[in-house]
Amino acid sequence: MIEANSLTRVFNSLIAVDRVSFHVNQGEVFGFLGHNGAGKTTTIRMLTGQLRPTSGRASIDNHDVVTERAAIKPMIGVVFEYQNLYERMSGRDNLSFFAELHGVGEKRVDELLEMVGLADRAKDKIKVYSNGMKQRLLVARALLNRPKVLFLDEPTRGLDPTSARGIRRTIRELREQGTTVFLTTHYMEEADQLCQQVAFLSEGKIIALDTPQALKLQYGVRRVTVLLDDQSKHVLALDNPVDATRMADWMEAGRVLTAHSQEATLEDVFVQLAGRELQ
Amino acid sequence: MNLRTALAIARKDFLDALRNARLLVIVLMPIGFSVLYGYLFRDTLDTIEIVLYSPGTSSLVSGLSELDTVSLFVVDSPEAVETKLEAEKAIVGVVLPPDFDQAVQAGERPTLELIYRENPEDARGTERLILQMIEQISGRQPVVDVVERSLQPPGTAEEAEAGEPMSFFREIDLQSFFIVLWVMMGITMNGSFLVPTLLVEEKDKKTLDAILVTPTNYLDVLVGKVVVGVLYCLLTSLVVMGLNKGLSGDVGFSLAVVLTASVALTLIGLLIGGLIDNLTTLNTWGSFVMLPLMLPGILAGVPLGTLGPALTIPLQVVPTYHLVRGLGLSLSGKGEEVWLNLGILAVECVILFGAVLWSMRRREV
Repeated sequence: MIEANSLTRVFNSLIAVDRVSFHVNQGEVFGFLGHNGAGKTTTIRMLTGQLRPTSGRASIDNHDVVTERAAIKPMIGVVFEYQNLYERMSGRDNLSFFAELHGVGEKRVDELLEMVGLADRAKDKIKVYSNGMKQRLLVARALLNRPKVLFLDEPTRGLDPTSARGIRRTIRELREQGTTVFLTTHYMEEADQLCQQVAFLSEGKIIALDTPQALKLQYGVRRVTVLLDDQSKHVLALDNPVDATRMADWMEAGRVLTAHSQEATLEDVFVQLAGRELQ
Repeated sequence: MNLRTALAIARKDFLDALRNARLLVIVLMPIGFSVLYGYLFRDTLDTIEIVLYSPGTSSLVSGLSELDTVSLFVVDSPEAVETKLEAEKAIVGVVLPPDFDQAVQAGERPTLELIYRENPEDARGTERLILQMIEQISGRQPVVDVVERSLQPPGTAEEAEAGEPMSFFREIDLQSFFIVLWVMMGITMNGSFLVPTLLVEEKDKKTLDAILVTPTNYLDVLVGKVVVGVLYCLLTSLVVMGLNKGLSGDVGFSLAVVLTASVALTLIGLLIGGLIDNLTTLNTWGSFVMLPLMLPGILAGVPLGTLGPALTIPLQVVPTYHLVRGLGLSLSGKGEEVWLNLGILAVECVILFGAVLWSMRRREV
């Protein structure tokens, strides 16, 4: 559904996105993870036709993002990283305006207000909305045209847990309905829960691309946390021969009270690959 | 271009501007000024001081004295008419021949002398007034010869005209002068503040990004903004003209000049908006932009020959110059003289449209 081949964008002398290539299947949630300034938003802007690539090419549903923008626009929805709503207008008026631009009726506006739980606050001005409400409205706006591909740029950043959970639930529902989702996020746990494929982006380059499970297996370190009879706690790496010997000795001496396995997280993998933490 | 989306953008912006106190002030300020000045100058604007000499009895004397809009001084000799004018007690003098009324009734073409102190337009206004009154009194189309002259000795006016060209503003009456001034102010303020705000706010708040990922393109956005900008310019202008008796003279030409100037200044506003990316910068530079836009309008009253070619040519490029001259002439009933102004404004609109489209599209490069 989404195809990028050596996609590159240079701003003056800065290479914001450097020969990025990936393929996203239909109905898949694709996680695009990286630090601030890694090139995530620039990539989204190129894929959605807002910015021309310096070189390389990308397509959505086999339509080139540069030469066939008019064909792409009706099939995409975008939730931006910023809350770009008309503050002096009501929630309903915001959606109605964009519904008119998409050529969809008021019925769809009502459906979406209901879906994101804002039907009873639809007449309120945006300036009195909370962050979570604004974010839900942005999701509703992006879904007005029933997009085949949804781009979500940091959709849960700065949200309370309830609102964030609501947005994750919406993403799952959309995936089940066959919508392809391109998701950028700082939250590794979120990516782990939602994505079928993730790409790690660092300084404009993809440094790893696979399923979350495969990345954790490939780059993660398997650990076990052991509680001994003297109440001391130890974290041992299962793949380390020294730690394996220590564990065997403690077990032989009957000193182990509890032992819990610890899976590697995507964050661990990212830190290992990028050399620094994500947040 | 998709007209539906362009009109959706226009409707959204039109209503949104009404909710924005700052933009509302921009729209209302010229209207407020016109009302204030209309009130302050109500006596000057509403009444005309006429000094009249009538050797016989004429019903014109009683007719004029009964008018609220005329302040009439009746004197006993033609010399006294000039004396009164020199003393600046009146702006127009009227000298009637003996048995004026009878001559009119008999259809004998009596000669009426009109003497103006400064502005020939004052004499023309008085002439229209007197002819209307004669028609009312006699009940038929008046047949009168009108001789118009300046208070200055013969030859002086011509010499002055040859050496020192007359200001354009002296060709129009005070009422028209104020209307032209406030209409120009209204359109320029809308063009340099309101219109760029409509675009810069979209860029600053990133709502333009959201619009442009829908099937809407830059041309739709541009047309939508032009429609709303022109609507606000027309609204301001028509209210100013309506409140100040400005829907007179050659109304069709007046409206055509106001419309084309509104489009041109709206496009200038969008060009400014296309080049500026945030509201802070716009607020800083907006007033600096307004001055060079208004100045040519004000200087349009100055005879071109006195300014020199270095100033004259750039002056005539700015739409406010043609707005002031075109509207001034139309209000004075000289609509057939504004074709050149209208043509220049139309050409400027086409050039500006292309420039604005370029400035908006450069964002995606």
